[in-house]
Amino acid sequence: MSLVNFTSREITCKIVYYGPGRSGKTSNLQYIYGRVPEARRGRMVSLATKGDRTLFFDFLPLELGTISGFVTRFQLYTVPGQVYYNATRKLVLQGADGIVFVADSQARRFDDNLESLQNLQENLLAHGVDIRELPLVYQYNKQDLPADLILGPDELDDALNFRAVQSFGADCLSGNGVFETLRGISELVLKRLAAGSRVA
Amino acid sequence: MISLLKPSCRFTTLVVAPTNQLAVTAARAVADSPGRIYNPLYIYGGPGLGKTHLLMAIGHSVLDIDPSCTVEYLSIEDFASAWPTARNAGEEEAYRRHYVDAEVLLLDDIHLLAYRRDLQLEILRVLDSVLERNHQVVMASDRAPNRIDGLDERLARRCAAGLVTDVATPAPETRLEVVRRRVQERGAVFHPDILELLAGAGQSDLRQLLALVDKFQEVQRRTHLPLTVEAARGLLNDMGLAEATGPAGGGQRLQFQADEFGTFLSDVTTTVAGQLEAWRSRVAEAILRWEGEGFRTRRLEALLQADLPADPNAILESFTADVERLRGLESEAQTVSPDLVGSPLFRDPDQVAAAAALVEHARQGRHPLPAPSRMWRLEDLIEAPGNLDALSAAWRVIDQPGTRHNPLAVVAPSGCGKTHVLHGIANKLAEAPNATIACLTASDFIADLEAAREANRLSAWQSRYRGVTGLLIDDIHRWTDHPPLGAELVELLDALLEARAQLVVTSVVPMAQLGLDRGIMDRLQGGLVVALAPPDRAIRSRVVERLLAAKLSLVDPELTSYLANRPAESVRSLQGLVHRLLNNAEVQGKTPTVAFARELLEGMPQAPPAREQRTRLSGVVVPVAGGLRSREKMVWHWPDAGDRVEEEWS
Repeated sequence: MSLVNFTSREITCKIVYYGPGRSGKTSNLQYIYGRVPEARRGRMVSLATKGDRTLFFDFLPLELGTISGFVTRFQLYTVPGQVYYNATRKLVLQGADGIVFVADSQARRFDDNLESLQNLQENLLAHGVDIRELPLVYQYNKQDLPADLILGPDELDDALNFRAVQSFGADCLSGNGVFETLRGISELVLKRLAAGSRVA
Repeated sequence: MISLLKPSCRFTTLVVAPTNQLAVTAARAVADSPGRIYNPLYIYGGPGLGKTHLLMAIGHSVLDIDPSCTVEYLSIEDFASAWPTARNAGEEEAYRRHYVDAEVLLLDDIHLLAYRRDLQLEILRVLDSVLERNHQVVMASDRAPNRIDGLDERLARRCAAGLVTDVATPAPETRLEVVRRRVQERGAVFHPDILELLAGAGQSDLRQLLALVDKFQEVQRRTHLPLTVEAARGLLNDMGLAEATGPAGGGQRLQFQADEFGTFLSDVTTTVAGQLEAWRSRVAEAILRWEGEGFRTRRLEALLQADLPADPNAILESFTADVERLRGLESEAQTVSPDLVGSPLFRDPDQVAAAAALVEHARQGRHPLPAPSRMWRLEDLIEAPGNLDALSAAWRVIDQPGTRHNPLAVVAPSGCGKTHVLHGIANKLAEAPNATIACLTASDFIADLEAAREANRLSAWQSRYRGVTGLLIDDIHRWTDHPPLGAELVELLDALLEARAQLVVTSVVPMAQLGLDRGIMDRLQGGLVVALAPPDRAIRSRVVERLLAAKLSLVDPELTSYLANRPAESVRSLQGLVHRLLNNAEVQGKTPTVAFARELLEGMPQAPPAREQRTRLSGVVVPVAGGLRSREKMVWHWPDAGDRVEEEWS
């Protein structure tokens, strides 16, 4: 399935929110869900454990309507952050057009961020995709926490953002940075319309 | 009239919001396929909501896709002032024709036709003419057609015959986006609160809103100080716009909940539209490029017209590949059959198969170039004072083909090794990478030329030989037996010499006595002419020795000496003698000896006859009866027909 289907006049973008457990991936989708008019959003599928931890993945389809004659759809996914759900993460990554890496800004979660980033790289490679070739943005979530508990966007950029791609400070609970992040990744993905590349 | 389209009024500079999304989508569709859908398109809405922007964006988009398209923008206000003038000047038909001929007619401010019967009738006439031709009409008005008072019913029906869509008052978040874009476009910097103040200043008219932004920028520029929120609020108060910013004097910041999804959607729409529209520009550019290079572009033109094109990138790539293929085929045709060059097939990417078939046909009709014989190697030639000059020249030619001695002419009597030298040089030249060598007799060369003349394929003949890096022609004295060679040969020689292709010719007749056309002679004698002398005794001894050694395990020096002393005008005749001796010895089961040779070649018994009866001069026997005669030229008895041939032709 290509990003743009000229025959059926459809554009479908799959964006995956990736990151360590409890970094706020599901919160991103929930906030977006809350701001999208009902007519534009599909049912958000979220399979969570008792502790509100994502068991499999979240899925939020967005119908953006007809743009330039093309029915345009966005499919937002999250992956389960816990280490032991790697098979699910790999599965969700399949066919992704862009990745939002949601990092937890808390200093104590620094290693988890790194580990998750490495895991993302490995899982992409398993699909034959070089992380450098796929649209990717970083979101540094929980920037609303006290400054002494978190690392600032610049520090996190230095530590995680080796490719110097776009990054966004965010606070998903209040919604700050959520749509900015979505717009950032969408622009990157849509600008590759012609190339039509995605995770195999 | 194209200049009436403001450069800034494009789809890319338009803020798309739910309030204008349908109108924008319809406008884009119309711009993509003018005259095919939504014809006419009627857009209405309050002043300053972007209707004129949309009209002009359509015009720009159409022209981006097809710069040759005729786009006319006309506001009814301009029409109302120009039309009576044209009519009074008797130019009404020309004026009307100007708009009737437009392929896309953009009519603005239709509501100004209210109660103006004469103008309405004229517009109706223009509309009917344009629509009849399936040309596109887009109209803008501040109200729907049926809401325009005093509008002719027929005209109202025409206006509503296609799609009627409205643009509504923008939501605050849309206005904020408009303000942000304007500020960004102007390169200005304002405090975020000022942006919100501007967006909430109660200006539903976007034109006035933009003017407000410009005014703020101007104030900031004049004072050379960043505008403060308080100062901005003061300015709005002065303009009577403070009311909408909140309770008077309360200083309360305007609050509205931003439509984040709406902004996101607007961004996505702009990006997608930009990406998708880009292919039309690419196709249009490709059409211009290939048309400029003389290729037919029907396929691409059809692509632009297509409502639902397949993947345009794939089609563009395929078209480009076909053009490259045609270029390759034409280039090949240049070599194979230059008559084909310029064929329209090589300019039509939809006819690649036919063009390939044409070249294949020509390719099949082409003969391979005549190659030198492998049996003649330059290294096998025995060096002697008589052929030293020729051999040295040959090796220099091989070292520096086309530059050292070009052409090289080798002159010698028959059988002295000219052909051996010629083929030896040709074989060496052929070893060079990318070498294309033609080595043939003058008779074959002329036969080829005459056949080409008869078949009217002279250019193909020239092309065949023009592509060589070396042309070696044996026995050019035979050209004197043929009708005038004509300018074709001179032309070919010039082309080869200019291309530094090596020319080598041989002749039995000295060059000065050839009697060929002066033009040909000038070119053939322009390099080096060397002579090969008839073989001297040393060469003859070496030749005999080599031939005997090839057959016999032990070579008798006396036999070698005898045979080398036999009268032979050429190496070839000497070779004939030796072969004859060896063949006869083999047939008779004898060892070739001097006595056997003497009997065979001189017809004498093994015991030598009394020599005093005849005068012998170096193998030539002088009969007693007088007269000089070579005994070998006399027929005694021939063992077989093969020997006879060898004797006469060797």
